[in-house]
Amino acid sequence: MKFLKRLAASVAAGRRERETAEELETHISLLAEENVRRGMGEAAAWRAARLTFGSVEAAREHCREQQRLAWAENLALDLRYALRGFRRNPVFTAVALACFTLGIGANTAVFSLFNAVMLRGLPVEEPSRLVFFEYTKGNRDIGPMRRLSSGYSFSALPYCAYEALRRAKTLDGVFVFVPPGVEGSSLTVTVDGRAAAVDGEMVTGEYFSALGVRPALGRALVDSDLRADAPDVAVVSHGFWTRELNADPGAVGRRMTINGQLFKIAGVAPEGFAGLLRAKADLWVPLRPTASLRPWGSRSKPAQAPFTDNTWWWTTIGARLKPGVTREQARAETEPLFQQAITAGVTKLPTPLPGLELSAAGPVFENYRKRYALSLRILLLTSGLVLLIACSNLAALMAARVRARRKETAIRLSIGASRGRIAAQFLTETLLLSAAGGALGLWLATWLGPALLSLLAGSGRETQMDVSPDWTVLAFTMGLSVGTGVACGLLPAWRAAREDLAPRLKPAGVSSRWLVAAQVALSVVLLYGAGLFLRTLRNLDAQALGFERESLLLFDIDPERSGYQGQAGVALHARLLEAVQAVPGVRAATVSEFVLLSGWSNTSPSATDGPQPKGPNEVHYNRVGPNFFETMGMRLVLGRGVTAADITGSRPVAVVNQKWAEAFFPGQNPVGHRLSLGDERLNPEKAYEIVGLAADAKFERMRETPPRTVFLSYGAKWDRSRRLSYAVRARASVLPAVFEAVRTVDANLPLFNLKTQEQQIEEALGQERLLARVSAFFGGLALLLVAVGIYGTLSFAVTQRTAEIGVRMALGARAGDVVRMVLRESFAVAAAGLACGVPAALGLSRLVEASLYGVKPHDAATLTVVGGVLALIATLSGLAPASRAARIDPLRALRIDG
Amino acid sequence: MGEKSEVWQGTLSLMVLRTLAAMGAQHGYGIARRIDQVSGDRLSINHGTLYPVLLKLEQEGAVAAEWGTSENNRRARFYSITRAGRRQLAAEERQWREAAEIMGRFFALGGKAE
Repeated sequence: MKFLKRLAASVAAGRRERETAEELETHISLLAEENVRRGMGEAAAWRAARLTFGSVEAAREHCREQQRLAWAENLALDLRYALRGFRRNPVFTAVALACFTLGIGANTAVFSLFNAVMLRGLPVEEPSRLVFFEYTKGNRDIGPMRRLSSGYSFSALPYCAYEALRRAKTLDGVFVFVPPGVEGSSLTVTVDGRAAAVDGEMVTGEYFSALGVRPALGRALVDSDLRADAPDVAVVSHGFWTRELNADPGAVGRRMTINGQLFKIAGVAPEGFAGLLRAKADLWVPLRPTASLRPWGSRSKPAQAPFTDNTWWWTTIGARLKPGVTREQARAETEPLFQQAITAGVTKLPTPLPGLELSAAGPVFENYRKRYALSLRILLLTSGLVLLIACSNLAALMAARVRARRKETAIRLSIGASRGRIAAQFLTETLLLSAAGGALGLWLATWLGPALLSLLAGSGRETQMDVSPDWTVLAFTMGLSVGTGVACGLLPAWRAAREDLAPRLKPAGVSSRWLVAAQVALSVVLLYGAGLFLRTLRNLDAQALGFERESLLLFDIDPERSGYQGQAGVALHARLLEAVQAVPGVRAATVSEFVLLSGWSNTSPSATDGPQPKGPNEVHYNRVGPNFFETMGMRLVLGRGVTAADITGSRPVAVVNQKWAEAFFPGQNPVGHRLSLGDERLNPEKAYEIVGLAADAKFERMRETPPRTVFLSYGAKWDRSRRLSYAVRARASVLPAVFEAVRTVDANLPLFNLKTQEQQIEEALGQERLLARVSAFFGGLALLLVAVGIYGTLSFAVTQRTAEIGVRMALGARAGDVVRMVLRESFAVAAAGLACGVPAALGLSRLVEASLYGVKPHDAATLTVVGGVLALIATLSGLAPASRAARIDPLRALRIDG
Repeated sequence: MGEKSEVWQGTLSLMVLRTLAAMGAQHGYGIARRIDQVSGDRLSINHGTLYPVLLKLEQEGAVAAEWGTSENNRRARFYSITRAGRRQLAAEERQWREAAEIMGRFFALGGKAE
């Protein structure tokens, strides 16, 4: 390519200049030698030689100039010429620039999201050597093992696995990191009397050293901080230090309370480091059971149980590989250690015995990546298709421009411009446009990226990922700009260079018609995908949940974090509920352990006083307060719900759902029976009396079929003095009065995780919404581009065929015939596109089957709509050129071509 | 020997191409001497002006250059005409002959300038 040649030439220029100097010297000495042979004296010979040669300096200067001229001058000329051309054709320039900007901008935005979730390394030393451990298992079920949470299911290992892995020779540092609660903002931190709800991590001694995170101030946590007799210390984030401690340089040693427990600040983490779990940790405390801080906020008794009992699986473990060790080598060494550890002293094990898997550490927790990977790939593919359509449109546009400038090109050729120069000129123009489009696209992406992230993460509570462009994104965008520029410019440039001096008459636009058909095919794929995702979102959003989602206000209150212990907390929840229910406008209010559809739940094996069911006995359970079923709008089929008397009374009760009843008491009335959790046989000590049967409802996520669920009364056996989620059936305008009611009970109780059930569902549908909205947007964009493509191609064809149409009309064709003729062409292009696009769409839809809900990958209805829309677009965009053709005056048309 | 003619703009590259076409690969000195010889020393060319022309021809792809050893064992750059160069030469030669013929017809109209 000309441009590359120029570049190479400029590199070689220095060497070439030295060679030229040598060449000139040789020339002069040869002249002098000849003069000597002719009989001149030495001095005279040299003088004469210099005279014949002329000024050496001038020759060298001219050579240098020639060298520079060759590329700099040509480039400058091309650029100036291009800019002049753009000024003369503002519409062409605007359309082309818009195509490049939208295409590149959309791709950059999607890629920066992809980059933030999938590619960016952790802000730690050598992130490539970091691994996280997971157990392998065909399904989520680990049978008899108990978990503190279902959130990070595959990463939950027993604590003994951590102790075993520390013996591994392939690992450099092994550490545990777990959250101190199942939901966000689970820590209440008080510094100088000011309280804040933050996220944190409970970690072991090698956490900071293995990550290579060195504190900005003070020291990191070490192994000795985990000893039972060690004082309570914590490391705070750089953000927390700035926000809450006013960047106090003497912060180390300051006191603060975490959930009411006194801690000393040991150090401040470096800027940009926010932990591994959700990338928003503000605090790190040693992992050991204390009164107010437990892994996952567990309530196990004794507190040590999760650390000593191998049937509790809850530990998330990370490690740094020794230099040169591969993940597979480390897996081969650690898996036997792991399996040996988990079998020690455990009678009932999951079958088959789980193995160990090592995953690469990413910017956000691996589970996040796995959850979002498919959606993000689909989006990348989608935006790539849009770019392809934009490119083919641009190529057609450029080709038209080449044809329009045929005369000018012919003149330039005839006055001696080389064909390479002509091609370079066209390529320069396209590259200039694509570079400008790339710069604008990057700018566009800085707006679109955060918008995409907020679509993905709902109201933004989830993660605070950094989607701003980094070098990877920048390189991607630059590559895209140059790539699209070359792709769109190469064909027209080559054509321009082949242009004959004498303009030929050639039936126009055969290749541009193919381009438009390809666009139609691509947009079929895009629109079909968008249709599937829109239907998925609608299916999920409109499905029956088993409870009423409207006008339901949710917030959390945690008495324990404000100093209430045991029954005092239970009593406080009861008083708060009473106060809230008394607020005018509140129709009902209740409490529960988990908000519905938050992605959280408890699971446990269950047993009853009846015969054990065949097959799995795992159930989901939620602890609920009085009026739960009334407030949530869940139907009770039999019996009653949990009442206030159940909470304060000594007999714990349970309500089961129909799924549960079918599994444990098929065809019978379960009310009056007893059940217990956590054991294979009914444990009379921990038994609950079943008082009601509820209709099935969704619990954990939108896509699930309602699981077997048990609703337990929260008070009697289980001191619920900790966090409970309040659900208040009232309009949002009642909220201030609800706050006031809480304040009158205790002014120091912070309310957190405030939202409506609708917002909770919106969060739960983040990915589906992202896919549906963005693919619909891209589909619309594709339609617009296709419309422009068809319109442009047909308009051009009509212009070219003016004479032919004139003849037809002169021979008696009516306007209607001409319109039909042009429209037929539009349909032919659309039909060719559909013929290729439909099989492609059906083939590709199978790849996204996992993202669909309530709609099959082969959905005739969606396909019909897509076909209809494209037919409509083909008609509409063909109409203008067709009516122009119909208005052709036969006489004038014939005269023009004369 | 009469007055020496100035070299017309652009004709020097044509002379270089013609020389290379006739003699094969040559170094700068050889080309210069040949042009002097053919023109019967009637052209006033500074040999130095040859080099920017050679460079230009090389950039245009009309000639190729490589280092070699001259007849008296000096390191020298040898230039040779390429196929593109031959095409360019043929085209320009045709133009020149045409122009010369046209001008010739005018001068053949009779009458003397002086």
